[in-house]
Amino acid sequence: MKKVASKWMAAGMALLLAVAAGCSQAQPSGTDGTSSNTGTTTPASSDKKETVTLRFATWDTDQMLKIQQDIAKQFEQKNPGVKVQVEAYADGFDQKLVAAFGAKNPPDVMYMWDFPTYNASLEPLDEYVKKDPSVAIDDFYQGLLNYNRFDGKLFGLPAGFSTRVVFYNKKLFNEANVPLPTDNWTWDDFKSAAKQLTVRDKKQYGFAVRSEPDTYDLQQFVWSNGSSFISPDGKAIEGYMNSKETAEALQIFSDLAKDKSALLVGGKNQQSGNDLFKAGKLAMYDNGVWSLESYKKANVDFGTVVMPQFPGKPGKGVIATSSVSIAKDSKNKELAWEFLKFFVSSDAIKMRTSDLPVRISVVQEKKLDQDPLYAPFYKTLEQSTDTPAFLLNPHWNEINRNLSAAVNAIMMGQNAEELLNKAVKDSQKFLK
Amino acid sequence: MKSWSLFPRRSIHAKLLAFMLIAAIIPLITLGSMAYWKSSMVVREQFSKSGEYIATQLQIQIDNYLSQMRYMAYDINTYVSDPTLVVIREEQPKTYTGFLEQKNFERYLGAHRNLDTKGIFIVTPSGYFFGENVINGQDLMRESWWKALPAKLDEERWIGFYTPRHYVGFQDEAELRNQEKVLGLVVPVLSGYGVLKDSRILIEMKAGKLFQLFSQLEEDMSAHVTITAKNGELIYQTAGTFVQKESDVVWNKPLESNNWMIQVRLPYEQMNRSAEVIQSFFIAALILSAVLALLLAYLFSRRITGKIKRLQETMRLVGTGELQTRAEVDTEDELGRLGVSFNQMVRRIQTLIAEVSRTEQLKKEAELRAVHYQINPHLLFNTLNSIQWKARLSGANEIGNMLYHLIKVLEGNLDITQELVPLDKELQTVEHFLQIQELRYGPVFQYEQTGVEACGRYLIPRMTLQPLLENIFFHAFEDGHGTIRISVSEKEGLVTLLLQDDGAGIVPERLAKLLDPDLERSSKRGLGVYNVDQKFKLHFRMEHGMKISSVRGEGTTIQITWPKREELPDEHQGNDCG
Repeated sequence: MKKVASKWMAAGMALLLAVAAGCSQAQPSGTDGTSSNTGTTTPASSDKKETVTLRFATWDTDQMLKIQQDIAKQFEQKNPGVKVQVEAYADGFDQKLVAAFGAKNPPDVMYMWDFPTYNASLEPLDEYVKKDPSVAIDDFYQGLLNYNRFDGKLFGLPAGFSTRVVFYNKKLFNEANVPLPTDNWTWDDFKSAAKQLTVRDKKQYGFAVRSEPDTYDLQQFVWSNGSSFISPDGKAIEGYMNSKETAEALQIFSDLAKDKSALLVGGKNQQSGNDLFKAGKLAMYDNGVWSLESYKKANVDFGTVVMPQFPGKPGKGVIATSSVSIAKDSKNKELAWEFLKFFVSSDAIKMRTSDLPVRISVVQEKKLDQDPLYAPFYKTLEQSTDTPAFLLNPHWNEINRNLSAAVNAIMMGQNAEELLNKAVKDSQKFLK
Repeated sequence: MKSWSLFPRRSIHAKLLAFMLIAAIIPLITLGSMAYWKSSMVVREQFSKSGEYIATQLQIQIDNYLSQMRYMAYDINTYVSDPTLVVIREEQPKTYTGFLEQKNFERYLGAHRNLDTKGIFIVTPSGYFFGENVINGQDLMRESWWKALPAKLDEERWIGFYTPRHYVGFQDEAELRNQEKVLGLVVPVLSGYGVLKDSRILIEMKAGKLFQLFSQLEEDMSAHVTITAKNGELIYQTAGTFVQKESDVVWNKPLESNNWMIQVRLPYEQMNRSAEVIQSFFIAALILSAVLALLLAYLFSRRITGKIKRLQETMRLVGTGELQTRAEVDTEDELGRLGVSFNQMVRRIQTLIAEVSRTEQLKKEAELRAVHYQINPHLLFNTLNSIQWKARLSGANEIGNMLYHLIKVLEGNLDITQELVPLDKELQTVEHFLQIQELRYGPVFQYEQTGVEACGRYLIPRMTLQPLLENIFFHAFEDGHGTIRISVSEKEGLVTLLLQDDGAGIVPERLAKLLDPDLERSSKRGLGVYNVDQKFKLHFRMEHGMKISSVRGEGTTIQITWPKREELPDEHQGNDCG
């Protein structure tokens, strides 16, 4: 009985739907043309095909992501028919990127720094730069471009960077009657300042040593002392990683921690150097530009200065850079290049406030190289002429594990030379 | 008792209104109810399906997370219980090998991470931990759920959903609140010695996707989600108060991994809400349509019945004798044509009435004249008879004969009691008249008649032929010479009489005037022919009567046509009454 009724109703519904369909079909032809587009397929769909979607992957979040989205929006406005899809991979950046490259469906443009790992999946840019003078490649700091080369090829263009400088708390210096650091201070100046500025009763420290520092950051000290972790051709570590100069540079920090003029920070269950500096409990801290705003916000009266030097040896710097690259498997390489070009253009660079401008013209226009807070970063940039180890040897990751263990142990107060010899010995196998 | 009828008896207006309303509303209700019934069924089904789908998604997703976490914990436990693989001698490494071993171990832990993993750690009783350096072990130990764990943990503990406070880098409560919630699992490390003794594996998964599913159920469907553990402990519950009802639609999804039970409760009204929207739309549409139908029906039927009423009023006026009244016609529809026909009919009636009254008038005049003629026919006849006898006695036979025929003619002429006489009787009178003419002129003319035997009994107005013959002798035959022919024939109910002479003929201008009724009677055309024609028209119909054709010098033909009528025997009256 119920079945019969529902069948009957279904028939009625079909009739009703047919009537309704008839009505709705008749409607668009009577109304204006725009609404009829939904009914017909050809013109609307062909319009849609003209919209090209360009995928852009970034590791940034929050405020920095917002800036990149704004840049993408500006690019869309200047290029009608282009939609830039900003994909925020956040801390899953590498996992997602590897998966996308593996699936041959990578984002067209992506943030990049690890050229040794990804260069095979990236589009070499030398030809683009040669063909398109509007990118004004000479306007970039050469030191930055150097970091975007691997195997002699350019795989990315710098979008933002930071070098490392010493942030110092002026108030603490003045309280302790220690002269403020200058551009040509030495490690001895530094050590004595650290000692004087440590007041253990007030839990105030002259400096903070990372108990598990990134060996990448340590390179500038090794370079400054005339050594390096690896030979310039990337083939030898013996005599470089375990040289007297390398050990000497690293030992400085170990000694600072040992004689308590520096606090070990950043390890498991240890305080963060940043927090200490913001709290005004830290007189000196080496860091990139990223923390500058938060220090200002914390109302710390601070200054910046280049790293101390070894007497008679030129200071050296290491660069942290955010670059942008094009995927080799991108289906819109020309458009990707246009976007990449826009992303590193003066206009876009001016929008990026979270790291430092990469174009000489922008720096000069904003007079950043004359700003006391920012000048040390650019001075260090000029000194950043050495190529970091990871760009010189494809097996650096493996070598670095041993080096890290050695460095960590050195920071815990062990003998540097002995540990570096052990690390070199353990790492020789990766060079063969 | 007054019987109630669905349709009012007296007003077409009301009937039309009722009919149109019913015609509009019944299909509307039928189709509308069907549409409502079916669509709300579909909507409800869809709603229920999507609820079921999301609940299943939730179940699969949570189950997926739980089993992943379990697997990770199992895997790590297997690894750490093998002393040849893990050699951790000190919590905080200080030596080169110590750091290498710790890093290797932490890389092993990190290898279990996937995109949904927030963190994987092994936490020692002292608060030191192995794993990515993103948390603070001391903060972790201050977390209430961590403190609630028994000191001697014997089996896995599902923590449920919480905002982690032990991750470094969060400055204030506001930042903490924005933190993605995590789903946590704590498992005791099986290794019974060394640094890892009594340690716990902590696995935290990002629960953002799950909370999206929760909010889909909670915000989009107003459902109430409850997740309870095996022991009745509440793992998750939708915020806010929720009153459970018998009628709620409930999906219960048990989780395989750890016997949690997901219950999604959807208030029945919620499911019906979209159907209710359809219903209210439908009712609004129904009311609107009904009002529209009523309005249109009212306007339309008022126009029609208004016209009918006006026509009715016109007819009533015509009925009371106001024949000049005309129906107003402003359309070409059936009512318009009805009005036109009615107007034509009234016009015809007016014409007929006018004709009837004119005929009556003429009849009265004729009667009056007849009375005048009747003044003393007896005196005339008696006197003529006396003169006739005197003439015979004096031997003047010719005069006597003439008088005899004259009397016969006069008898025919003066017998006014009968207006219509048989044709043969009229012809007898004619013959008496011709006898007089023969006596007068001598036998110089000829008279022929045909068809009288067959048609003699048909009635003809009295005194119609004699004046025409008189005309012939008076105008056509100047010296009495000539031939006169009378022929009578009958066809299709009409009698046709032809009177022909071969006399002088009539001049055309006179011929035209002969039968023209518009001419004054006093004019010179002479009364004879016109009067004869009028007699036929009066007695019969206007279309009957005479036609005259004449050719100068060759003669005249008069054709008279009238309907065939016979004298009934009982109506026969003697003509010798006087």
